[in-house]
Amino acid sequence: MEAKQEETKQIVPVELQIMQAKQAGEFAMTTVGQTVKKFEVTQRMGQMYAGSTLVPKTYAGNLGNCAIAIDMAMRMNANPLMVMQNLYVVNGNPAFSSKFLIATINASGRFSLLRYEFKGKEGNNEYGCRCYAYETADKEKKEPLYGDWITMQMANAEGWVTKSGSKWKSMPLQMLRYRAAAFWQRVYCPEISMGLITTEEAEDIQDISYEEVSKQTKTLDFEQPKEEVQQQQDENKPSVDEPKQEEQPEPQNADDLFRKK
Amino acid sequence: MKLKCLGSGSSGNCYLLTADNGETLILEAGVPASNVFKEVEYDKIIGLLISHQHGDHAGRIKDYLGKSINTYISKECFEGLKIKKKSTLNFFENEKQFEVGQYKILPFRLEHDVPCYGFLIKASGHGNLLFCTDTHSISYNFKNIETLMIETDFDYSILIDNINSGLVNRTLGIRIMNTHLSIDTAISVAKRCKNTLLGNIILLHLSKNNSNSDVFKKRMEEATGCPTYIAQKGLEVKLGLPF
Repeated sequence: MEAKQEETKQIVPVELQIMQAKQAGEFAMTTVGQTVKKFEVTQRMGQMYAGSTLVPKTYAGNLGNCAIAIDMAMRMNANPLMVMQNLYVVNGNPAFSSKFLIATINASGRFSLLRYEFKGKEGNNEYGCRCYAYETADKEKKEPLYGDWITMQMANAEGWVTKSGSKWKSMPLQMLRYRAAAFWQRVYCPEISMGLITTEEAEDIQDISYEEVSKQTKTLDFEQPKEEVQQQQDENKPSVDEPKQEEQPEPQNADDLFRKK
Repeated sequence: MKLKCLGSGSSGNCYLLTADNGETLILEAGVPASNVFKEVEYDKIIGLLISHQHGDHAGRIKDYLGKSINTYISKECFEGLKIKKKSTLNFFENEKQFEVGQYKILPFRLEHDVPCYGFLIKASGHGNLLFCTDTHSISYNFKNIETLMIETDFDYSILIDNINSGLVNRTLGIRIMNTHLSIDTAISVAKRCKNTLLGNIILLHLSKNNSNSDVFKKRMEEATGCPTYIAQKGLEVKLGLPF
């Protein structure tokens, strides 16, 4: 009798376990369940990357950053470590390196390799660069996909050149190429960068500090007579002949005068 | 210096500002001039100052134009009143100070449905007197205010109740809100003006239906700590510090 009761006790938890496993399996099949599963996997992978000594400093020991980089890498079909090595935080905002963005476009298989076209004379304002490529499907290369012209005039007008430490002064050709590629990518395949800008752009387009100007209320008062104004100015003016003496605190009121005496 | 009120509100406004030597400046011409002449000797009147063209402020201007009393109005007010130019009429301009007897006067623009001006007035030996009426708001700060004469036409809650109960026409109610000073706004202006000199506050132009003089006086006194008076016919206030 007792043995039978013991057997029942053991059977119930097993059945319960099976039922729970079945429910978990059904849940995992739902959209929410898949998201949860994906999150759990990302988190586990993130823990691994966060503990690695090969990842850049921004990611070392930072599970959140690693998880974000892994998520981006999955969406971009790229290696997480490659994303980490090319995703920088500039002025508090994440940004891709231009070379990574160009490599991703080239590796996407959707376009031919990016090409650069220059115009104008180096050193002039009209000197500029634009990118172009062809869709893979356009075998005969009939329809080039042109990006916008990036010129030195534009760089000057946008204030990219005059920023302190600007690379537009030291390596304008490289910057023209990078910027032209970024502009091209934003037009023809914005999904590649997932809305992020390049590090070079982030450096150029950082927010400047500003001061909020509140509405000033004018204070209305009578004009002082000219003689009084002149007198005040004369009083404030230090004498040229006499050496300036140390200022003595003036008595506050009549009572102070009496106390002095 | 003393102030006498001969009328305040939409039925007619007039205030007499009398200096220590008896020189009297009339503020607003909303009551018959005969009432003024009963109170002050004709020779002692040095001028009449008018804020805007509405009848309760300038309706009796013609009583004065025939007499040799210098009247000070804005050009817009003159055009609005459609009166003939007289040699005693003088035009003032926004933020351009002028003198009438011993009084220095600085007019400044207010927010009403017609061009309207407030006045910063200074008599010798006194701090500044600020006179503001018929305005939605006051967009200035002021220094050394000794006496504050400020409109407190209505209280929002009373006015809204009156609109809802049908006592005040909705259109009129909205016009009042957009062209007159509420007790709340007046208190905030008074707080901005508060300084060690501020000795008296006189609340002007209280609406018959949309205000509560006792509550207004109490609220202003609590907010500023200054003696507060309600301008009504016959009110007389000695201005200046008590020494």
